[in-house]
Amino acid sequence: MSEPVLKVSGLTIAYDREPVVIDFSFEVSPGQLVGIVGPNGAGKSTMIKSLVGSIEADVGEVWVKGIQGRKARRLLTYVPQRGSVDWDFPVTVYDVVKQGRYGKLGLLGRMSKEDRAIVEDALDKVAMRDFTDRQIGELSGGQQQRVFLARALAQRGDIYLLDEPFTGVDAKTEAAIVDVLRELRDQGAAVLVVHHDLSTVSEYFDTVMLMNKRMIAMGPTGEVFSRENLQKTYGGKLAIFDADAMAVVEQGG
Amino acid sequence: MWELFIEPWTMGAWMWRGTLAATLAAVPCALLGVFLYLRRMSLIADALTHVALPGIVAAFLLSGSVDPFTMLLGAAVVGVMASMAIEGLADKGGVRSDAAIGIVFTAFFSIGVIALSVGVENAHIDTACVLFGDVLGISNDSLLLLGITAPVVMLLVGVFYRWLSLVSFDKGLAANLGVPVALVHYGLMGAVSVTSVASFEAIGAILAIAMIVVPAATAHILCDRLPWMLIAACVHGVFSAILGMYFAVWLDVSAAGAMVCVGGVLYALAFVGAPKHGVLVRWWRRRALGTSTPKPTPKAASFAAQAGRSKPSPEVS
Amino acid sequence: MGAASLIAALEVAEISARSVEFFSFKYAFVARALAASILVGGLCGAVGTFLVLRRLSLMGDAAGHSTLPGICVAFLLAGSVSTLPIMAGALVSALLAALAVGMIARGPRSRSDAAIGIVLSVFFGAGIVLLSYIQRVATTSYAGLDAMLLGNVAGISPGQLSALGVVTLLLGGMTAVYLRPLSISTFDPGFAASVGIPVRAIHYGLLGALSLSVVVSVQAVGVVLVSAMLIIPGASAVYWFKRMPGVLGAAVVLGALSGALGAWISYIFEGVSTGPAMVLVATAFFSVSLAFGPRGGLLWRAVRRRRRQRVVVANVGGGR
Repeated sequence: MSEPVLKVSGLTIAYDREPVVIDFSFEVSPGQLVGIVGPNGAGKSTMIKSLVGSIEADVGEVWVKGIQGRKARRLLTYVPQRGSVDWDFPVTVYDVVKQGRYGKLGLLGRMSKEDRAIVEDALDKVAMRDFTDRQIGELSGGQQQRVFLARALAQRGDIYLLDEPFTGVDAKTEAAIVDVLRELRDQGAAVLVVHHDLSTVSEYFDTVMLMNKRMIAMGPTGEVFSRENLQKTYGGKLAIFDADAMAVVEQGG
Repeated sequence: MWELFIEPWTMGAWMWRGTLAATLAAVPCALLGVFLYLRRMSLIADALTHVALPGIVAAFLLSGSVDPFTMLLGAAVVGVMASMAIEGLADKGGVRSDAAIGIVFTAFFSIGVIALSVGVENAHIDTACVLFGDVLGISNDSLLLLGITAPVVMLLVGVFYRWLSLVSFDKGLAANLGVPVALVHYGLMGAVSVTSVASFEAIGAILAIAMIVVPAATAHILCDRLPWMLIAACVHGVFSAILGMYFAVWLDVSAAGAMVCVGGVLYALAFVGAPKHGVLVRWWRRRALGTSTPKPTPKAASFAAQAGRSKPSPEVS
Repeated sequence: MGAASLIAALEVAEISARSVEFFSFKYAFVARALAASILVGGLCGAVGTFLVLRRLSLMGDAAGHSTLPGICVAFLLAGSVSTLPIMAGALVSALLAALAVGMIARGPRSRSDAAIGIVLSVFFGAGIVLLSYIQRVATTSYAGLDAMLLGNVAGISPGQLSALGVVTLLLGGMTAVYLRPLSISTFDPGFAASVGIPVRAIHYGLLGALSLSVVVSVQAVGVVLVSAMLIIPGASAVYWFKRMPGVLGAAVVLGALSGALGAWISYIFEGVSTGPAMVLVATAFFSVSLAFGPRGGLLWRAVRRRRRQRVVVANVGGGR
């Protein structure tokens, strides 16, 4: 396998009193599509946010392509949870995707032909080309999610972090997003996805990280995504999950 | 009929000067107001305009001069201090963010009022003028100050447009792309403080909030894209300034108050009759759809939810 | 040196003499001022506690500013600064403002913070227009109106004081009777509604109480700063107690103390308006509470954080 592009060691984050992310160490290589799975309150979003730098970690280090700090963070492409966006904001679909180019353009750089092509290409990939002039509040939940994925694509990075991209979206959008993520992986990008739905884990991801404040296991989905590990991750709560999920686990494992 | 509109301009230079000053105050207030409004910081603007008063007084007490640029500096420094205090109280002290605003600005404002009445007896600072403005008798210094501040603020908003819009829309992405979020934030706060001082004689400390929030709120009902919203807010500001001047002359009342009233009426018109988001259109659309009982939108969730800091709370209604 | 210390001693003597005068109830107007300040502080402290806890702090600001046009209209209609019409006018416009904020917040594309800003400034602007009109045309004295801006508790009339007393008694009694539903609906409106507490009615009742208290308080603290007396005592009290009755009691005491001390300061130092003086005293109490209050004060937070860090480190160490 090639050199890891993302290396995390000893990452620990505490809110007010309790630590929510404890002692995480892992590596992600180009061409890996990783699902991050765990119960509510397991610290999944917190960990992602600290990787991109919007939450300060208490202990631990993060290397991106061998560098650390602010510069390293700019190499990561982050797709936030849909709930954190202000849908009344006066921007159109095109404006949002264009924001993906701002990092390269700086303050006053003009959009070149190439930039415009990148934006349009990103819109095509998520099938949102027909909606470019819509104000973002006028879209359905799935369409909104696809716009934010398009913005991430327009950043043209090669390490992607997505926070629950499948929450509250329609089946068509979910399929479209999965396609895009697989394409990114095939092009050699490293993709980390916070994921909720146990029944689709084996289908979507080749690598899975199970976590509940501490890392339970990380590795190829076939090996790691087992009943035993899930029991460790979810504890007694696993019983609540539907039989289908367990069937999938049983088959996969 | 036309004489009514033309006559004020023949009454003397004060009408020209006043209108110029009001317009020069309205445009930067409207531009900065759009970003404050979109970031749900309208009431920080309320705080900053009040806080400009102690800024001016402090600058006078320290330097002993009423030189306008010293005052501008004083207000900017005190303004940034106040916004830091508000954030500090909310982040570190566990005070609810709306209460933090209320505590900080009333405390600063009280210091300003007391210092003004006790310490600055012989300075040429007139309390009433500072609070409510005196646009018809605007001084050369103030006019010059506005003449410099307005274009500078416009230029800065133009240059930093991308940063401002990105920070307002998605702080996370902005930080991720390497935008200095904190710098942009305090820059905006400083600009609002400076603008409110520069506009003091034109509109006064208490009414400056109207010139900041009302244009943005009106523009937001009318526009779906940020550049248009900025333009609409400026148009609203300039229009209320000029029409306000007319009413001030016709009825012989406070010019600043009249401008604010015109602005409020324009907002009400947009609120009711805006083509896409107005109350009438919404009502009409709902009727056309035939849906019976419309539920109130959950938009009324309050400050804390907006600040994204903590639990949602009872609606403001 | 000797002369300077003599002057200083004389000043101290003068101040203490005036202080004795202030607290001795020798003059009726001084006694009225002191009583009014205490009542205003306590009343605003109680009502304000609920506002702060419901994140409606700045509604107090809106209600305060928006009394001005009502006061002016009432003056124009009644032709004098007599107590009742002025208070009625102030009450009507404060209530209208509270309703307008709610309407705008629920309207198209609006943000509730902007709704407060819009209502506050437009009402106040209208008030300033009316005030400037009154200053031009008034034949009778409008002297009392200017004091409404920044407050002048020494100018309080017996009528105003009794109105203040009645409102304090009324709202104090209602708070005592309805303390439980008020607390529950403040803490958890969803639960309150599910057990049959009329959450909306309580909300509007509170806005009504807010308007009433603002109206009777503006003579003492002024329309610009009345919000401070609403917000600051409540915001200070939460650092001392964890249960509602304690918080409420502390807010009333802190408010009343701020009122009395503020009035005293403004009595001793000429030219200092009562409103700003009360606010500064209240702010001093707030600073002390913020620093040393046992419920989340900065000192205790720092201590707890140190302890927590130790625990985190220990936990992580143990996990390895």
